[in-house]
Amino acid sequence: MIMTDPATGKASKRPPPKENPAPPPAKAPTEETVLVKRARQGDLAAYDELVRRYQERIYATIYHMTSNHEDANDLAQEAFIKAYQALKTFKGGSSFYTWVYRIAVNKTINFLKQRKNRSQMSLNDLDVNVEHNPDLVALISDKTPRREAGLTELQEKLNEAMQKLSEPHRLVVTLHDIQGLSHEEIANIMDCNIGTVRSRLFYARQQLQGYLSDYLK
Amino acid sequence: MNSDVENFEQLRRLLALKRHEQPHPRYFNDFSSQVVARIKAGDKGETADGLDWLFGDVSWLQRLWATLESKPALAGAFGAAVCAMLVAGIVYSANVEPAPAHAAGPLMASEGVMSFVSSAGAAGAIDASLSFSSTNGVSPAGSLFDQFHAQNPFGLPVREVKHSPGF
Repeated sequence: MIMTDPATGKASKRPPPKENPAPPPAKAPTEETVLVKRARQGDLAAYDELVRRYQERIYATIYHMTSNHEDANDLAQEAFIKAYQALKTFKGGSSFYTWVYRIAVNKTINFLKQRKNRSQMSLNDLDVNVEHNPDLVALISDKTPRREAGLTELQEKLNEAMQKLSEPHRLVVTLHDIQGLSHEEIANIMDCNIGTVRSRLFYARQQLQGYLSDYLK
Repeated sequence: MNSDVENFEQLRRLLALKRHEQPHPRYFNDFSSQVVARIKAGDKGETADGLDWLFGDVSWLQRLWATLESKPALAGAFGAAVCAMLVAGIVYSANVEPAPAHAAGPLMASEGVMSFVSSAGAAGAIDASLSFSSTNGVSPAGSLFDQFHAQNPFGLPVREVKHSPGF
């Protein structure tokens, strides 16, 4: 499947998504510290570099939480702006990545609490590589009760099921099963212990399993 | 337990679909520059004049809207309060009698003026009331001697004395 670029109308291929999303970048932590220090002194070029490093992960987390591209765009930008404004309070106890993540997550959860009565999905398109994902191909071609379901329908059902979860449970699933973060990292971001993360993950998976039983063997 | 694990494995594969939900390919090209532009705009906004801040900032309205949106009970109460105020205003305005057109001045309400109006002719009263002002407290109802003539029970001759300012 080739996606068309809305801006140009031309077909475009996207870079393949990360099958196992990389954990927080470990490359040159000192470089990050320098960038943070410069940004704290008002160097916007340094902050621009920091935003470029984490924009995709922050956006993706918010997007999977909201199932809405426009909301994810606004919230991700606001999270980075808030992080810049609060940079002076960043003590360096955790990585900048974890700290920004925490800001984004709190902002998103607050937003979702306010948005409770209107949840309109605005989903991104599936990228071209989805048809080459053997797991997904197998999932659709296997003899499931809804094997005729197309990928787009599956995407909608999956997002609907995600939206039925409570915010903490959705967040754990998003961070672990979609973004590939470890339990420990999630515990740092959510400011809770690892046992809580595990139990929330188990409960959330059970819930999802119930909602998506038609699509699972 | 094994079936649970297997099912979770199926679920994990299904959740992998979400990794393929990607925004526009060049979406992230401008993302950081937009963030930096908003930060710069915010810095400029902070240094703007107080009046600009007062009239330019609508965040309180957005907060109010967001609060009403998230709490239907509060929104209902707010709407009911507005409706009640509207109805009260309509009822109040319907009960107030319109003032007569000729009773423009507050002096008309005083007892003296009312007695004057009753003793004089209707046309004269209207003319007199129209000529009143807050600085003219004496009614222009003829001279004082006319009143004396009217009250002279003995019919004594009365002579008017002309007063000349030069004397």
